Amino acid sequence: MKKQDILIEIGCEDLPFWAGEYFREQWVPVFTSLLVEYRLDHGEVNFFYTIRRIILYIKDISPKQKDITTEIYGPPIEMSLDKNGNFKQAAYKFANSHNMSVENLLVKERKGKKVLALIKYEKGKQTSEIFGDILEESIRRIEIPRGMKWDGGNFKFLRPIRWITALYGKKDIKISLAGIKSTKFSYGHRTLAPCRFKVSNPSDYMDKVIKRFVMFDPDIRFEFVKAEISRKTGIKNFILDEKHLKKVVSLLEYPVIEVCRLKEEYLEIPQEIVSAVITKLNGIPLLDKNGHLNRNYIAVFDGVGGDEIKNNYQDVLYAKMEDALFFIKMDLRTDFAGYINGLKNIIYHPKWGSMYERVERFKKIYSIMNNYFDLSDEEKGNIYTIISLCKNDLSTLMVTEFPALEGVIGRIYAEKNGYNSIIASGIEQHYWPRYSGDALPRTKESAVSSIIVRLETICGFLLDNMEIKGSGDPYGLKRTTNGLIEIIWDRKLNFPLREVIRKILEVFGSYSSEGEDRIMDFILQRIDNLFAGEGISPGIRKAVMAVDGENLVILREKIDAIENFFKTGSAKNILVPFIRVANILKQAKEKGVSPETFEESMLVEKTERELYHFYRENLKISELLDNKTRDYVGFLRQLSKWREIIDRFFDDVLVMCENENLRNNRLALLKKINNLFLLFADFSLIPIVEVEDA
Amino acid sequence: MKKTMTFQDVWRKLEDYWMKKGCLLWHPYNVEVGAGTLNPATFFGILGEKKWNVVYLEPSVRPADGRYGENPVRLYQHHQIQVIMKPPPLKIQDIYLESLKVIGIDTSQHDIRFIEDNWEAPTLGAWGVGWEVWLDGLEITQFTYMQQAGGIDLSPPSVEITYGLDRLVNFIQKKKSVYELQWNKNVLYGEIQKDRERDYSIYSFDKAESSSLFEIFDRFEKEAEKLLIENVLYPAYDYVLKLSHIFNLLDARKAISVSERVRYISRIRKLARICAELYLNRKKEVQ
Repeated sequence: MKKQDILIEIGCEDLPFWAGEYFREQWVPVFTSLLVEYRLDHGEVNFFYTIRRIILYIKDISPKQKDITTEIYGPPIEMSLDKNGNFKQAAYKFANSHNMSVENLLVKERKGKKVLALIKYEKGKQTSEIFGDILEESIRRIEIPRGMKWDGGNFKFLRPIRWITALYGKKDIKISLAGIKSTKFSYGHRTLAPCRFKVSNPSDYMDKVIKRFVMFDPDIRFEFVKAEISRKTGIKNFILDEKHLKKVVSLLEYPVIEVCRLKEEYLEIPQEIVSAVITKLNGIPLLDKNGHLNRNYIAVFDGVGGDEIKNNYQDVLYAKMEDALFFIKMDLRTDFAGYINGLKNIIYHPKWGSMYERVERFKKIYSIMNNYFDLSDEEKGNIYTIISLCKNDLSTLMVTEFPALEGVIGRIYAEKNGYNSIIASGIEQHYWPRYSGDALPRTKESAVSSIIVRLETICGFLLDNMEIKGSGDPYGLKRTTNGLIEIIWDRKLNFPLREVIRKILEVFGSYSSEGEDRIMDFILQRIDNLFAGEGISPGIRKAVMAVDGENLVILREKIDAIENFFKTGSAKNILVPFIRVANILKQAKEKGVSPETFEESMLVEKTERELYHFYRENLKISELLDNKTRDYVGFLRQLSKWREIIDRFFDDVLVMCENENLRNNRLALLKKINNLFLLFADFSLIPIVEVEDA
Repeated sequence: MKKTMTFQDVWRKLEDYWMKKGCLLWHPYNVEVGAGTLNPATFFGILGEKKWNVVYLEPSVRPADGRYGENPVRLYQHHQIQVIMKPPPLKIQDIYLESLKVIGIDTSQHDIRFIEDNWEAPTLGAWGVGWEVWLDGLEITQFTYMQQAGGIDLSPPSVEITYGLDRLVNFIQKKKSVYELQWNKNVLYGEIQKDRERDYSIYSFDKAESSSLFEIFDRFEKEAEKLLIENVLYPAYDYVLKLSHIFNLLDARKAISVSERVRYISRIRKLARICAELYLNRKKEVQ
């Protein structure tokens, strides 16, 4: 029998918007790795979803599992054979446990011992027979967040499963989940084609379901909506929030768009607020290429459209807009600074208290940090005001109702209360970057504010023994830290991170060196990750981070310097001499020799004297590393000049000579040189092969 | 021209519809409740394995939502049609959609969506998984598969369908404000409700005396505890409901700080849990 395609459709009551992507990330890899575990060859794996179904379409699955032969080892022969070579009880036990008789037992060598062995031959089963097991196991292996029960069984899923369609080629396969047995039948769109229909094979499903108003591929729904927007509005270059559009198209099966129009009076309102109201109703605000809100916005319906629905929808939007305007009016009755008291009622963290207490910590962290950044009094004043007010909007009605507007509302209300534009924009931008690739804070004041708030977040959560494992990012701590690093690099905010963290932990009243290390490790791990993402080799990352981990700006500049310098092809001129020196020091150390004192008078050979002179003349290159100068490329250029003299030294001078005093003196000189290189990085961590092609 | 469906028409048609689906017709409760879920018909009904289908109207009292009768949709007291089906029928979503047709909403001509919204009532130790149902963008129903009540796992789960009757009729009659709705042919919603809304808002926001509410809370709590020890379940549960309402009043008065809030909720939840356990024990003894 030849390979065939498999189709599995799990039909559910309406799924949450995130379900499809969650299954794509969690379930599909588990499923494909199970196919390998079950020894089934397969072709392309396709995954689709709508709000009511998840669909797996796998091409070219072999009709049966591969047969398999395995050698199984048993007890050593001393225990299982008597003097005459007859089987003892241990042998019977071993054979029985594998459902074989002792006649099948063999003697094999294993790790130099003679042991009993069995050759087990397992014949592959039919694909259609085992597919149910694979499906059930794949679902058991993933976590179902907030899994629910619906009919008394113990099976949990995101929403009730109502049907399962499963076919292998033309055959139906017997699958059962939560007591629901699979069939060859599926269903169309809930209102447009509610009847069930028969599927004759996987590709037939694709044709039929689409004719029944189910656009099963989320990517196609996404592109379709975009194209429809252009077509119906006639606008070609609009910008929309793609993440939001992805959510919108995950909530339906057959998108129908209607172009709605904002009342003129709404154009006076800050556009973020109007956008937030539209977004809350799963509509799509459109921006032109300058970021200005278009008066047209889009409503997306599932399978239906027309003026009545559109008008109803617009009425709901108006009511929500009126609500929003009412909230703003109410909010502005109170002085913006006064909202600080409302923060006492917002819990931030079970251990670290309310949002109010958090803002008090910002102020303390501010007084720790403001001295590092070379700030004018005016800048200091602005930063202090920003961090004092930056969370006030959380207690306004508007943000309570539209949480996505945090920061934006703060900015708008601060402007209306007469704060200067740096403060107002700082309140909004202290949240930036909100996600990877988002804009960074535009002013120095907002950058520093963002750093203060981020450090407080990171320290607070990590102090509370929160463990962050694997790829997850609970509370967005990884994202927060990435943002911190990016801002520091962007603004070249040069400060000793470890020292600052130590002081922040004291603000929390919870200093421990263990906590300090954990936080530093977490941040350094994120830095390493960011560098890796830029394609910096592991060797270079390790080499620099082994020496510098306290100051992120220096780390950044050193990495850039190495990258640039190595591009010129001179990498070896630094690595070779360093490694020669480091190797011989390592040998000496292994022999228990630790060179302490160096005396010039004890240099006997011409070349070693030359090396020493070269060292003495070049010692001043360390000034290139001064915090003010930071000419890292210059320093590397200088280091690359050492190769010739060091090569000559090793050719002419026998370091590990008989005379102990001479030997130790030479090692001491090399140690000095080694230390000079180490001021920059531990170059021995960069494998020569890594730079060979450079 | 089609006859306008009045508030009482919609109410009665929905009750009729669910009665035909096998639901018992129950009545609103006589203690203030924040949601139909607190009516004993739901709180106790959803516990245990026995089949239980019920429908009733529940005037739901939420002091913090009062707007002195001035907001077109926000109300101190709104009206819910509450449906419980245990165990949930296989086609419960379809059955629900069918009910909308009965009140004149042609589901094939409107955009009806089930948007994830998981319901939780911390004072009752109750939560469930489900949706808000949107009708052309308007939220008309909360649809929940209840998973726990009184901290007890529900097996089988029940489906709880809660229609927001005021909004639904607002949609059907195409009015801008609930106060303009025809309650029947001759009487407007506002004529009977507007004054009540104003007075109750004045009471909850301006007049309610926090100190005496705190006192009453403590006294009612003791009463509930005493009754529970003596296995007098239903009056004890009434006191739990009263506690929940007093808590809501204090909340509207902003008299409870965040840390206190957590403590008050857990005091009520503890009692609700004992009520649930007591109820289940009795059922066992009967068997």
